[in-house]
Amino acid sequence: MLAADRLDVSRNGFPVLRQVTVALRAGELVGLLGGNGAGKSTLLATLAGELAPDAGSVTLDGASLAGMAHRRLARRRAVLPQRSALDFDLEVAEVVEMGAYPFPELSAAALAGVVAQALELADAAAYAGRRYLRLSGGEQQRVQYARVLAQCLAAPAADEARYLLLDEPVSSLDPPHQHGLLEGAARLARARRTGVLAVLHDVNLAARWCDRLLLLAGGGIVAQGEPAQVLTAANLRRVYGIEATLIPHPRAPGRPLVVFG
Amino acid sequence: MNALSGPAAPPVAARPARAATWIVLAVALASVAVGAALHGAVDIPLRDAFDMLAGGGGAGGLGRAVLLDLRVPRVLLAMLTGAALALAGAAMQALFRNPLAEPGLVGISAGGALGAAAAIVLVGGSLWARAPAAFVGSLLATLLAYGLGRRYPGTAGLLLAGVAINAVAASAIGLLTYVAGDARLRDLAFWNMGSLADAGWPMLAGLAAWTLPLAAVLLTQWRGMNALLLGEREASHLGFDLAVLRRLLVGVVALMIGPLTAATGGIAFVGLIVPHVLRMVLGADHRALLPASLLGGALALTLADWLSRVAIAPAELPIGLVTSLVGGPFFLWLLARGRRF
Repeated sequence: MLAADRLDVSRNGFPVLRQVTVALRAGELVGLLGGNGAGKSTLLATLAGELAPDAGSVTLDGASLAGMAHRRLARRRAVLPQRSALDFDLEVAEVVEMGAYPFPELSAAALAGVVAQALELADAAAYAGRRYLRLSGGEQQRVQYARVLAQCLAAPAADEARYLLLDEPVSSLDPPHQHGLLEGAARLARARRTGVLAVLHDVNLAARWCDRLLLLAGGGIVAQGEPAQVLTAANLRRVYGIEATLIPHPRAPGRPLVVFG
Repeated sequence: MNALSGPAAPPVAARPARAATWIVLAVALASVAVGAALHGAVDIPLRDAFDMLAGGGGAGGLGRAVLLDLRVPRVLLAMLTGAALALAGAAMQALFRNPLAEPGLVGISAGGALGAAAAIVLVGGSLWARAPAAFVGSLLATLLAYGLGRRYPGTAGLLLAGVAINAVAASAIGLLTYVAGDARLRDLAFWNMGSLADAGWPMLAGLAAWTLPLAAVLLTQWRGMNALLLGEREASHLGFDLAVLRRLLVGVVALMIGPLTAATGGIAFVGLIVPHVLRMVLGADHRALLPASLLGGALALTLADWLSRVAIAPAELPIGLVTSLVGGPFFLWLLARGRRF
């Protein structure tokens, strides 16, 4: 379990998160929702061990991230940042292979298998041999997603649970790939003992595929739980400040559909 | 070959095979090295060279002395220096995440030169005094360039820091020439022009024993350098301790470049051009790029030194002048081309 307990986090001297307590368990896909500036990326970076909290703690299976070696942490959790700054000329397969750097013990054959599987899951297998810089923005995002998938897949199967933190993983993707990515992430979570946390802006996408949702506003948790429980007109008003109507999803029983405005 | 498993094995890359590139570079390097050793003010036929190496008389004492005491150590020093400069250039480019970072441009060489010049003027010119002083100068310059360069996005901050460091170092060296006595002034002037001419076996052995292990350390860091290309956050997500990796790269480069600068004077642009050209051929993956830079740097500087010896024979051009004559226009071309990699 990747757990944050009563986190206070500030950035550049300004408090961003206050008293945030969340937990990510292996096997679940959790959507993190909130308006711009609500603290989503800060929460993700703190859970990743990148930002040190002012107060409170982040623990991985009970062990504090603060004292954990970089390599050891990288073998347990992968992070997809919002934007990539890669502007050197690398091939797609070379980028994806980097996901396996925390696992230098892998044989060349095992590594090739991990890369191929990650590319397949990210629906990026078609451009394995192409140059990263010549891909479109959405294609590049899928390659970066394949890279962090490789970091999860490269871990030995019998190893402890893994955690995947995705900051707006679908921001450049077309609708079929948005759904494909989240559906695949939910499947990966269950099949490979992985806890996945994804920052999302599309409430309906989150409601459709996530096991749980985390609603963040003003640096604090508004609600967390199953989509049907937390997506209420009152909660959405507190998070986004606009009116919403909720109707049952016509094709996914138990999932709500949100109509804004 | 390794069997690829999984449904979609990556297809074979369109780029030339890495091993093929390495072999071409190695063969070219060997040929150029032999050519450079035999050709010059005194030409030595290949057959005589074999005789001399076998211990025979060959063309007599002069040829033997020229080949074994002058040419061979000089060619080896050119190879060593070129390899180290190109490798350091590739490492700096990864660290700064900027393909224009180069020991000369960002002031690392100038820092080393200032240290060496200070040692020459203040305590006399032996390499054993120059080398540690040059290391300290390189290290300070690297830290300064890195600290200032990171404050601005893109290339601008780094290059401006380099301009400033180069200017400060040049003026400080100028100041040193004013306070230097006559004998030391002459030492300083000869050293400052850059030359591989006073290569001898003891100096070569010392520099090789120092440089090669450091180069080997850099070669092992290809994963970290690749991860840095993704971004600093991404590198840390992949398990690299950024503070440690940065300190390692900066320290090893300064340790490697400082004493070489002390020995050979300022040699610019090799660390910029060689990795750049090789990146166009091989791509940016450091697993392929670093060994290729080692070979390519050795090849480039051996060629440049050969050229510096024969271009206006029997006189010699300073080698730093040759690399700048080729490298300066190349750098202008890069700038004109814009940032397309």
